[in-house]
Amino acid sequence: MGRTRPEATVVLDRVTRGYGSVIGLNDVSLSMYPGVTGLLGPNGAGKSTMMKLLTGLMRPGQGQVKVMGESPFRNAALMRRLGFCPEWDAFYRDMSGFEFVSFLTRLNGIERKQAEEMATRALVKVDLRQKMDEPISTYSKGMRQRTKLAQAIVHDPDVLLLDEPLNGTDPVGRKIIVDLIRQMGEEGKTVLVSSHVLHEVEVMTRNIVLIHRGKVLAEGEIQNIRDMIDKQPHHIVIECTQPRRFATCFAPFGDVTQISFTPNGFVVATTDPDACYERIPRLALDNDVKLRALTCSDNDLSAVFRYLIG
Amino acid sequence: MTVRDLRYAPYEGVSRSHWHSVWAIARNEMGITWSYFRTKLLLIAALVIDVIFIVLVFIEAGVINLMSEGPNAVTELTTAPVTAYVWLKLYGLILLFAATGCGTISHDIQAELMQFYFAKPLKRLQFILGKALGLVLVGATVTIVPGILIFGLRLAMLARTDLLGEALAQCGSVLAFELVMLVTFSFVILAVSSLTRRSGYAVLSWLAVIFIPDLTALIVGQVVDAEWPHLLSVTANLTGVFDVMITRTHDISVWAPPAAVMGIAAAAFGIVWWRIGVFERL
Repeated sequence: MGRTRPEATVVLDRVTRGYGSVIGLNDVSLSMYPGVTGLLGPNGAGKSTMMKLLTGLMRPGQGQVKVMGESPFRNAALMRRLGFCPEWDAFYRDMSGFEFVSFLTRLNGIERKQAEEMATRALVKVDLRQKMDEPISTYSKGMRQRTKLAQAIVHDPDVLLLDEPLNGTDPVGRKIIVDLIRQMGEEGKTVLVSSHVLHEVEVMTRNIVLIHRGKVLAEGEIQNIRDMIDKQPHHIVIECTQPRRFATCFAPFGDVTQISFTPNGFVVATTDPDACYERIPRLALDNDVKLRALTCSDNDLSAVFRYLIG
Repeated sequence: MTVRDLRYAPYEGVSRSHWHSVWAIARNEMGITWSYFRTKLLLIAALVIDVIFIVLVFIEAGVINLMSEGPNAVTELTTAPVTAYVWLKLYGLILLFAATGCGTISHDIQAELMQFYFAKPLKRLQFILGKALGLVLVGATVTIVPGILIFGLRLAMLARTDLLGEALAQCGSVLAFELVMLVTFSFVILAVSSLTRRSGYAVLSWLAVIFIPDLTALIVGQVVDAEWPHLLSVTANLTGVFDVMITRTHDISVWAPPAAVMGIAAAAFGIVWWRIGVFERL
């Protein structure tokens, strides 16, 4: 018996949304299905606009947005089935991670005790059990990202919208988040992950949507895009202790084409990002360097977009 | 990637209480306010005033008892101490809200927290009521709670006298006034706080909303030599409501101060409703 095509859980039908004279999304039509979908585009491409439209935080100027067959705008019932992890670091910083997640869980109309149990479960899932009672102000960037993810998954939503969830995470935090996203996709949830870094999305899914200047440029299998992007050098921003000493460790590798310094670390340009990402934690461990953040600039993806749009 | 065949139906899940969300926001607001050192400092300062009034209650009861048998026996309670109490509470609350309440929404705007609120199944009214309830509960710690203690003590002291009925009426008037003041101020604070992402600007706006009409009323009152300019002042209208409650009379009309206070509260609520609507739909 052949597998039937599942019903689209997220549908955008000729959606246009502007901010005054600036167009955020331009006549976008798109269907997403259960599983993980990567939403790729450089900064300012319209990814966050799409996320806000899907969470009902914004109404489309034209066209229709449907999540599980319903419009998300001012649809409180639908919000109970939807989890959202925003891009921005938005917290009550004096609260502990546990208090923050419990509080947001209670906004679902759930009573305190049950909300606290759910918050604990979600924080354990993102591996924050040890630190969940400490103030968020003491958390690293990666821990804050995991706290945001915990509040998004706490009520076991059917649709999960994650806006740049790996931004600034350390390698350990990155692995935890990636594993969790993949697991949710395998469980049949619809997970939309936005990113400006192809490599990040690639480890979670083969299914991507490319968006640029508010328009969908391409959608489908990642391999085609991957072939294009491999021709471009990939930039990895590393924040760590002793950046100058650590940067010299990358010089002997043939795939490293350039190293430049920033106020908090350095940027490595590589033609083999997979090998480079594997190498970073190992080199840090060997050289007793503490990694604070790993981020990827969108220079490489922008180059692909320039290629795509001619 | 495993893709499963799911057929989604319109949501018909468990209906959950709207009040859980309202209470969660109110409790969160109280927790944030309580975490400030300045809140504790102001509550201690307010406590000093309350202790003074508790002493005054004992003195009043002692004097009434002493004079109960003589020709100068007290036959009615003066309203002056109660009015003084109300004025102190009014300005105490203005100060407390200036120090701790003005960031209630502006901080959420600045910290980009509004997107968290409205990506949840939360309605605008629930958000506003939760924030207002948080402010009312914080304000109640310097108004209604000590009011119940002080005026409860006064009722107990005067329980066996002919003045009990009058004391009861004064007690009821004070508590009702404090509730009206708390609700009105809470909505005005929410309004000024929702208009800016800078808490400092919200504090300035709050003080301006209170004191500029006060000054205007004072100046216009002096120029035209009439009572109606008092209707321009927020504080004068609130104390006017108290005067109506306690004496059933007013220099202009018994309806004027309550109508003005209701107008102020409604306007403030309208502003918050509009502003939160902007964030709800960005």
